[in-house]
Amino acid sequence: MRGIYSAGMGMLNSLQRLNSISNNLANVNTNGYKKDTSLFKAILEKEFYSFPKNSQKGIGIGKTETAVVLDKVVPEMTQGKLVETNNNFDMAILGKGFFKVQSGKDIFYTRDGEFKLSADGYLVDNNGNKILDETNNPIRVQKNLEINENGNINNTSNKIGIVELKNLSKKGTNYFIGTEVKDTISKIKQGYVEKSNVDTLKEMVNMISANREFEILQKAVQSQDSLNAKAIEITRT
Amino acid sequence: MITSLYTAASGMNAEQKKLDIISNNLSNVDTTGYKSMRAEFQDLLYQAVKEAGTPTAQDSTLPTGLYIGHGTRLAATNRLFTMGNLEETGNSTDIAITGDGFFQVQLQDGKIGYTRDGSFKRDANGRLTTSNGLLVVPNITIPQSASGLSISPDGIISVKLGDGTIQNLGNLTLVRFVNPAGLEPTGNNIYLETQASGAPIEGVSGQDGYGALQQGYLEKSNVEAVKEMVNMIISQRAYDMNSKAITSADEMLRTVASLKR
Repeated sequence: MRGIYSAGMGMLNSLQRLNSISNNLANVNTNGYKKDTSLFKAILEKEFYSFPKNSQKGIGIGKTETAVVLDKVVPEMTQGKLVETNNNFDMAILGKGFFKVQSGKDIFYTRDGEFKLSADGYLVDNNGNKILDETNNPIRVQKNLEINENGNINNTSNKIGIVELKNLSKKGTNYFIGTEVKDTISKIKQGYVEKSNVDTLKEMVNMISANREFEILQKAVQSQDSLNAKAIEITRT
Repeated sequence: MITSLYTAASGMNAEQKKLDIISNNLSNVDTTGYKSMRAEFQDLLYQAVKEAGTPTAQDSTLPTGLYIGHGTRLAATNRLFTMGNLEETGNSTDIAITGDGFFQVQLQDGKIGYTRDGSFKRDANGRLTTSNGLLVVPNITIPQSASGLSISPDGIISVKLGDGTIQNLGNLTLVRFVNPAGLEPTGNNIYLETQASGAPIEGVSGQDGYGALQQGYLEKSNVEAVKEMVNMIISQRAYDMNSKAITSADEMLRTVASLKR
């Protein structure tokens, strides 16, 4: 009887895998997007015992886990391809760093460097939020903005803020949240954007395997069901 | 039903809009002064099943949460104001701007519009207008008897009169915006000022990056056909793959339906 639940939960997991795959494929052209990876874990451990003759105590002979559940969805932080745009307000980060963005009272982090110049002269992103420098102040820039690899802005002492993150998770609208760690090795490439790091071939293959997994598990549910049906028939006298 | 159905649909939707923008760029590849646009995407909000940082036991927290994504959306269409190529026309009322400036034109409703298209004409009264007959601001009137219109790089417009004297008709000034990408396109190569673009700042052509005027030249569009074609291919394939995700979700639903025999 228990197997029907294991297989049923497995089916839910395949659905969940497809959700992640769909999100990755939908964002294949989102700049600075990092792909989602679903991680599963086995739960409900059960021990098998063997009872030797004339003994009241069983000896453990092995374990099994009777269910698998979705444990985490983790963004995979590999570098996306850099593509040249020749627009001096586009910036890409080479390395593990993030830009800092002020949204109301919160600070969010992003890898999407398609920046703009606001009407009042600040460097802003597509949501109109201000990009921050090293000391968490908004940055005033000119139209002829030039930024070197270390983030120093021409004709100012300003330096664009780049931090690495621990415990990061996604917020949506290209933002991440997490705990800041000082970043030392990231480089800024002006005039480039970072494409998403979704590997389409991998996603398509995963899609097929999730699909087939789902079918196989469905067969498992059906065979459990027919076994139960048999058991019910036996009792009919 | 299944989240992925809608997620994949959002991907298809965004790619379709991207294709619309690419098509618009390609169809304007020969439009004087046209500036190409690009689509910029963002991921949608995530549904937090487990928040990162929630305590799991004494002194320990979840390092990563469990978030379900919901697809993508078109966040912005960004106009790139790089220079287009200059093409010599030899026509004395064609003017190209070799910098960031815009010409000002008077719209039908009295508002001022802005354009990079300097293919000007003379109307019946000798006034300088755009191809659509909108007056150029500041108004310049060319006398009937004049010959040899000349426009200096810094915008001084002068003509030679019948008796050989040179008459100065006025200065063609340009305006600049803090954020030209924030201008609102209204068609006919004309932009309007918005909150995002900031107010127009008037100045003399040829100074402070306003760009010198080039008489007898027109600025072509800055659309890069190769780049657009490549983007078209990428966009189409992304569209295909998202449709496969929908098919996939559909098959799973069919599998669910056949659970019960």
